Amino acid sequence: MSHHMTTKISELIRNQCYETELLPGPTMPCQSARTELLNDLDQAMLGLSQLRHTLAVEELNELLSGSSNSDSNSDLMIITPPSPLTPNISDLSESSSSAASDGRTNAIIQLQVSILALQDEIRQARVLHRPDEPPPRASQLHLLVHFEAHRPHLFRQKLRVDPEIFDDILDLISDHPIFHNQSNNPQLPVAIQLAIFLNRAGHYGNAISLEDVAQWAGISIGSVVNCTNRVMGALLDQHDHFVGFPALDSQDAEHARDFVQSQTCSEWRNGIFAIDGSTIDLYAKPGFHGEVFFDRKSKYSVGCQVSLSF
Amino acid sequence: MPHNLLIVDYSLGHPGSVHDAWAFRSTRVYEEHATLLQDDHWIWADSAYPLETWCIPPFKKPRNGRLTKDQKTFNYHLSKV
Repeated sequence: MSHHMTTKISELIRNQCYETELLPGPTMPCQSARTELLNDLDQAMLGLSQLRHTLAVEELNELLSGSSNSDSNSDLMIITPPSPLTPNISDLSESSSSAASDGRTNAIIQLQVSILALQDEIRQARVLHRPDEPPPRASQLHLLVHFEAHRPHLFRQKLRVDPEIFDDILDLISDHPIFHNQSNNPQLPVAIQLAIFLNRAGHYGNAISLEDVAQWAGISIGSVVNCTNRVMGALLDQHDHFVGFPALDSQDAEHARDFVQSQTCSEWRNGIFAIDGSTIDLYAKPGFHGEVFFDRKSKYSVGCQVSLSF
Repeated sequence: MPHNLLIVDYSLGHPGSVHDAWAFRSTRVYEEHATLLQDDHWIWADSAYPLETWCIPPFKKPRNGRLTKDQKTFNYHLSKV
């Protein structure tokens, strides 16, 4: 019976241990769960020690009443109960005279040993920290829907394109395979990914830190990076459709000549291209050859040359 | 007709200390201007760029000198392109 009790208690404690430590519920902070378990174990240990004490006292009484000799009592009375929190296990193995109490004492010893083992297990368990509460999410993306209909200038301020252009770009990239992976966890809608990309692409520096974008979109920082990379990949695949030298006998070139002539004079109609350069500021001085990137405007930058046709 | 402002060529990645005229030499237009810009076509550029038959920058003011009226007129209209 006592053995049965042993397994039951240890199972109970073990279960509690697994439930709270390894599969922590959303409301149970891990740190306090660990302390709580240890406290419970200490209580159990204390109870057991008290039980042992009671048993020992009973045993003594039996001895006293059973034997006529009362002189040796003083020695036995000195026996101190084991300290409740740090029981000395080897000390418990000292044999008592009666066989019946032997069984009970052994059961208690077994219990105490398993409690010690459980304490070890709890102390050595390493649980990754979980925040007490998941961070609340408050996406502001729905504002864009309102902006599109009623305040296009705010839409443009955020995403740096007109709503119509946004839709055009969306149509161009939506079918790209990068947005259609065979995962059970669906990606964010392409429209949201594009909005995140455009917001990031259109801003610079502190205005557009990852954390800020993540909070704005109500998603994680990692998702912000993923969305940006996906959209960039999809856009770059359109490169050759939009960047390329037109043939001079093409319809486009003829339109351009007409346009230049309308702006200037007939002698200039063949000047349909223009070029200029600009520097693109870097976030920080590059680690390699940093000084080479220092430009005439006292910033670190890379150069960009663009030719275009009218 | 405000035409489409199509990007036809670009070059990226020169360090910021590199002058426009030097970065220009790495563009495709510069290297292949003979085939891309035949039949008396040319590129408008600003004063940082070299003067070529296929690349037209504005007149630059000579040191201690002034631009003629015609040159100023030319530059004025060039800036309107």
